[in-house]
Amino acid sequence: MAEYQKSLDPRDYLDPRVLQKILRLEVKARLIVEGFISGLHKSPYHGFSIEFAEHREYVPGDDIRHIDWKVYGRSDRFYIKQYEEETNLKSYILLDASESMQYGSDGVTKYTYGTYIAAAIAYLLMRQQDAVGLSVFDENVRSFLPPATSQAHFMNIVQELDRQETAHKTDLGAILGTFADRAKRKGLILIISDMFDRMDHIEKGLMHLRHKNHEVILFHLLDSDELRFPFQSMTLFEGLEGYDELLVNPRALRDAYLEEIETFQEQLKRTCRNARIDYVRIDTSQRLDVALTAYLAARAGRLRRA
Amino acid sequence: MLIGTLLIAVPIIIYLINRQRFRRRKWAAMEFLLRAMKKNRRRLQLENLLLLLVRCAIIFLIAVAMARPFVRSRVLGTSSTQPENWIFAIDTSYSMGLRDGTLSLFETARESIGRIVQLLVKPGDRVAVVTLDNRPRVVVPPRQVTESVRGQILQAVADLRPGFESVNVASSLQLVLDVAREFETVGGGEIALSSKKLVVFSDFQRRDWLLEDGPRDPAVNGLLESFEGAGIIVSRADLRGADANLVVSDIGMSPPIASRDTWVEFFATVRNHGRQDFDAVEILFRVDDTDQPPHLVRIAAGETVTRALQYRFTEPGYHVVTVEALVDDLPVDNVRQIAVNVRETADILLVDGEPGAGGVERETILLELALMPEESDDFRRAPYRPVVRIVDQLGTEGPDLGESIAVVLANVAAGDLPESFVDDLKRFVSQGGALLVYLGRNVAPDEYNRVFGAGPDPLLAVPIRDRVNRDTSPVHLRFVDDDHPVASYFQRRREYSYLESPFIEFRRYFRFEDPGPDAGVRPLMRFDDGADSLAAFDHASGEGRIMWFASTADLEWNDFAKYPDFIPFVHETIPYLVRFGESRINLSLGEPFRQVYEAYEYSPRVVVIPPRPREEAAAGLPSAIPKQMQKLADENRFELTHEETVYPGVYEVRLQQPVGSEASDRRSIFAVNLDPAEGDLRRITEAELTRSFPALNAEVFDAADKIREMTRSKNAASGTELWRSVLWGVLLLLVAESLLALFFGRGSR
Repeated sequence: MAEYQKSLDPRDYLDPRVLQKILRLEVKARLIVEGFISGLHKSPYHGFSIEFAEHREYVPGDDIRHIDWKVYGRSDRFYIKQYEEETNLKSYILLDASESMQYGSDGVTKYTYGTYIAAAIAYLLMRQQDAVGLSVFDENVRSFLPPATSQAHFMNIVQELDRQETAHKTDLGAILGTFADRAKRKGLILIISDMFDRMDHIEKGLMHLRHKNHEVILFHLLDSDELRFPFQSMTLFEGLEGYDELLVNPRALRDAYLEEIETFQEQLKRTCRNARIDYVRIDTSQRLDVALTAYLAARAGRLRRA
Repeated sequence: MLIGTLLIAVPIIIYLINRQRFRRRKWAAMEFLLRAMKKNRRRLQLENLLLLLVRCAIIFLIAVAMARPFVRSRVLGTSSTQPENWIFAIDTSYSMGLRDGTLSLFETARESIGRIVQLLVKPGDRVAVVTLDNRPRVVVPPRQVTESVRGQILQAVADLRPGFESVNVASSLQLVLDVAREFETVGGGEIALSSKKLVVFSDFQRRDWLLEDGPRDPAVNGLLESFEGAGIIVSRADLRGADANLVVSDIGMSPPIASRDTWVEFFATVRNHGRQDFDAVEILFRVDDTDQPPHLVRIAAGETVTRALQYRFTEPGYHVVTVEALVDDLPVDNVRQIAVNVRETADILLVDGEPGAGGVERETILLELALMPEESDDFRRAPYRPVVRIVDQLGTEGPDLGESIAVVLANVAAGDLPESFVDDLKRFVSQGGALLVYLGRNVAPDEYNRVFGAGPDPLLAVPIRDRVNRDTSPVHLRFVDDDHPVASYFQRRREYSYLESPFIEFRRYFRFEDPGPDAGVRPLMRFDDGADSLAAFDHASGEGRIMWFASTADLEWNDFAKYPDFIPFVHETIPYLVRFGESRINLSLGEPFRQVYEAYEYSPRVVVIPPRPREEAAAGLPSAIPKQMQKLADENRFELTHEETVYPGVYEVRLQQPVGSEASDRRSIFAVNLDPAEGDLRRITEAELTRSFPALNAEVFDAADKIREMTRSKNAASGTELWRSVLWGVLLLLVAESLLALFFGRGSR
């Protein structure tokens, strides 16, 4: 990690293409978070940073109650831990590993991008001693890790993310319903998916989550190809998740396609709005701070509401 | 066109190939794509079809444009469906070789004809091609056009080359008329002359058409009237380069006789026919293959300069002297050549009619002294170093003429001359020999008239009438032709000359009949005897020249020989006469070469090697022409005639020894030069053309402009520019295709 930091600005690690060069996901997660925090310090929104947990050096005059004794135990210095009261937040990350998530231009598939978000958020939460759980799914739940706070747990999450391969169809409605039933205690649910499923299924699943009083943030991942449809030459599109092939001149169908995908996004947004779910559309060519910022903003809002 | 039309299949094939050539791409958002496809399938199919049609139309129109369609107009054709009759007349005079940029006028004209034949002449039309030349010819007789005939016509036109002569307008027009009449026999049916189109390509040199006071040939107007009603289209070759043309107009040798180790002077005359000055013209003499130091001269517009080269040949035989001037846009007239026969000695045979007198009383003694003086401070031998041979005993056969260049008869009684000698003499003159005849008391007019005045090509062209005795009132000489070369010598030295003075008295002389203007006689001097009797005149006989002098060569009848003028008179007269014979090896273009050879010396088979213009040589034409000499009747001689002097330059005649002879083969040469007047590129103006030739009713156009116009349009004149319109259509379709493709989402965005 040290050598990467030497050559690059920490914020560069928010670029998915840069992260590609790093092998281990846990290192990636750390780099994303470091870069993100570094960016926050330098951003005009610095005031925002104090709303979330950060360790800072003790300054004479600080309330002694804010000293983080756990950290102190591993260090010669005194640290102040803010928002001590939030340690009981439970977060669930739901990552879509269906076949459609394997699409990616620029060498970064939606699934890969999704793992970056998942790992980075997990790392961030672990740093704040928050509990985080993980569920990877396609048409079935392929793995489930209940929320926990330990360092070992973070490593489990990372291994689980690395292990999964994309396959099979999605059945978001059913999956979300299953998950809503399984997560008894209300918490923050982060859905990372391209949401390629029937809208009524999606709607049903999301409403199910909301009924269980979960806070939900939907990270809607779309590849830039899917958003812009930039193809020029005659192309045989081979549908994933069991769709038929289609030979078409992409230029001729571009406008019609873009209209379709726009409509889909609008419907999804409307559904989220109706269910009071935070909708964050993410283009996988974008930097990762968009996802993290969205997460933190949602979390802060939840705290305020709490 | 057919191939072009087949190209329409190209977009379809590309479309089909494109459907076979595609990329594979795994796609996640397939549902949206399929939904878009479902909604737009019909629209896409329609758009595809429309684009395919537009693209096919573009290819089709390009093919149409390349096939150069056109609609005939009324200017070059009255209708597009009726068969038409075309006569193309192309000027092949050498001035058409004038370069204007990369192409000569001739090449431009040739190209124009080719284009008209390709673009405007349609199957069923009748076409003939003739040349306008000094000797015009029919290149393509009237023929009905089929596609294969069209190819033959194009090939015949492409093979045309400019000649080296001027245009004889009258004979050229006559040929055109003759060809026009032949149209009736082609394709059947009566075809009026008025239904023909005569397309004339010429540079319209003024000198071909006009003299200072009107048409050169009055017959031309009459001929033009015969074209009444025919559509004559006259192409005026673009003469932009005509402002600058240098012509080597003459090359001469003085004296006209060259002997080994004697000095001769060559003079070259160069004329600037243009309207701009040439500041540094290099005039270069070349003797055989050796360049002499060049002259650098300035030649103002319209001016003529003469430069000379003194030269002494050390080897007898044939030599060539070439003069070249700066190469301009018309190089063909920038060079001139003269063939020189250098003799070992210049032998002159003096036949003395009063040999008996001996010593200074001899009839020819003064001639001998004049021709071969003992060299001293006062007298020098003439530059051509004449060697005289005096014959006073004629014997039974007469003297052998041998290698003589000239024969002088002085007071010879015709009756004393052996018949064989008279025959020899006639042959000698007819083959270019020079003869100078002085009369005297041994001359009997009837005898002379009989011996010398008989036959078709007589030695005496004007009969001698009688002898005049003016002892008491002697007469004097008077030049009557200042342009005569002999006279001009004395005219230039008038203040030193006694020749026309009262001191030179002629007491006795013979009178000749009045020759009249058509006798071919050139009077030199007359006596002031009140009747203007001829004192000296010359005329041709065959290739040679004879001068008759009405009195004696010695002092018996006159005082001429007492005065110094006698010496230059002899030296001017003999070379003057000899020049005609020498000029047999210096010909004008088209003039036949004739030479007689002794049968015992040569085989009748000879080879003539003509000069070859570079392009002719490249065309693979024979470079050597075998010839068979004709044996002359009753003589042991061969005559060689070569009439095809069609190229300027030096021709070589290779003579072969008869079989069994040990002597080596010999060669002789002759030079052919073109008419320098053709280098006067001034053209007749349209105003002059209409004023002097009112019968000509023609549309005059500039060939270069016309070609450009024809290139722009399939129609040579003012017809609809179809190919242009088609290309505009292509352009519009291309724009439409781009816009449609953009509109349909196929444009690259």
